[in-house]
Amino acid sequence: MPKQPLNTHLRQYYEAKHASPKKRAQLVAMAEISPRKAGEDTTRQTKNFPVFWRYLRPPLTLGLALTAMIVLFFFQPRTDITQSVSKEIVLNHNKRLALEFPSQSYAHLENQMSKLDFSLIHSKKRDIQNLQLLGARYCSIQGELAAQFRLEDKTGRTYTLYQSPVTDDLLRLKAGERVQDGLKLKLWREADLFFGLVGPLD
Amino acid sequence: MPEERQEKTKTLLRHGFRYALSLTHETTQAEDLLQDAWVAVLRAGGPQKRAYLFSAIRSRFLDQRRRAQLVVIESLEDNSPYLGQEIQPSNEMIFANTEMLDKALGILRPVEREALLLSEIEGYTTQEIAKLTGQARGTVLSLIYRSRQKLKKHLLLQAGKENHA
Repeated sequence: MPKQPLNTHLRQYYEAKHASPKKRAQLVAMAEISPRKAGEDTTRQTKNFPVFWRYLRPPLTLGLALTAMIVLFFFQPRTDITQSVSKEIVLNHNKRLALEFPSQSYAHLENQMSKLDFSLIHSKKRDIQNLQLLGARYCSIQGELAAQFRLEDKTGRTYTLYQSPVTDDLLRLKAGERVQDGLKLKLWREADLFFGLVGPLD
Repeated sequence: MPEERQEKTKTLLRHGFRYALSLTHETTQAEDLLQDAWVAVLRAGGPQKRAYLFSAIRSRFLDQRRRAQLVVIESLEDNSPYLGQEIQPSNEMIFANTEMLDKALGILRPVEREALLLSEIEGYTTQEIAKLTGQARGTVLSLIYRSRQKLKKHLLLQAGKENHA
């Protein structure tokens, strides 16, 4: 190098210095895949994007949440109400909770069970006619207040009879006989009431 | 990426590399420093401008030095005798080759090399350097003056040794 001013020496020195071609290519490629384009003054974008998002996010989130709720409401797998009620009343039967109103008369119980918002009826089913009433207590079926009667056959085997108003859920219930947890179960509707009878297998 | 934009990126990276090199005085370290800063700039979506990239490089360099406890903080009052002046390029003719310059720059502190590069190569004014480096203008003026003197002295010594040899 000839004699020259210091700044010329420095310029030549630094201008001869470069990052390796591999590193240069790597760094340029980074800018290429970056959403922010090289050479652009992105200050405006970066400042506006969060503001825009800040205002848009709440209605978007609400909209998404509502959509999710609607979808869940219409497409949720419906639980089998018959199976659900069957399990519930069999469980109640097995608990054998103490009778709140010992009585052998439906008419008497009708007077005593004043919290019920429906009138008890004495079913005309033959299964019931042959059973002796021992008493009753309040219970609930699918969250609705119901009456639970304890009955006994001639051999001393106990049965539980349920009466409840027919709610929207119970409307979908399939009437019939089935065996649930080793017990015989009979479900039916009579005079706008839901009936369920649980007892030992024959 | 359009060709023009790619060229701008390459130019920006070239400036970035030189600036990083002025701080580290070591090629591999400068490359790593530039990469760290470049990634940060892209991630932040910051403006791809020289001052922004330099600032990112500088803060990363200082972080590294702090971690290694290598930062020598030199307090220079803003009452430098050069305050109120603008450093003018020296017209004094000096003999130097790349090896000599490399050695001479190696004896300077990073802040001195940085100040020299910014003023002599990048064409920054002392006010701009002061803003970028967060130092008082007087400090920058002193840095530039001292580093020039150190560099000249070292180069003259080297040249003398080579002549004797």
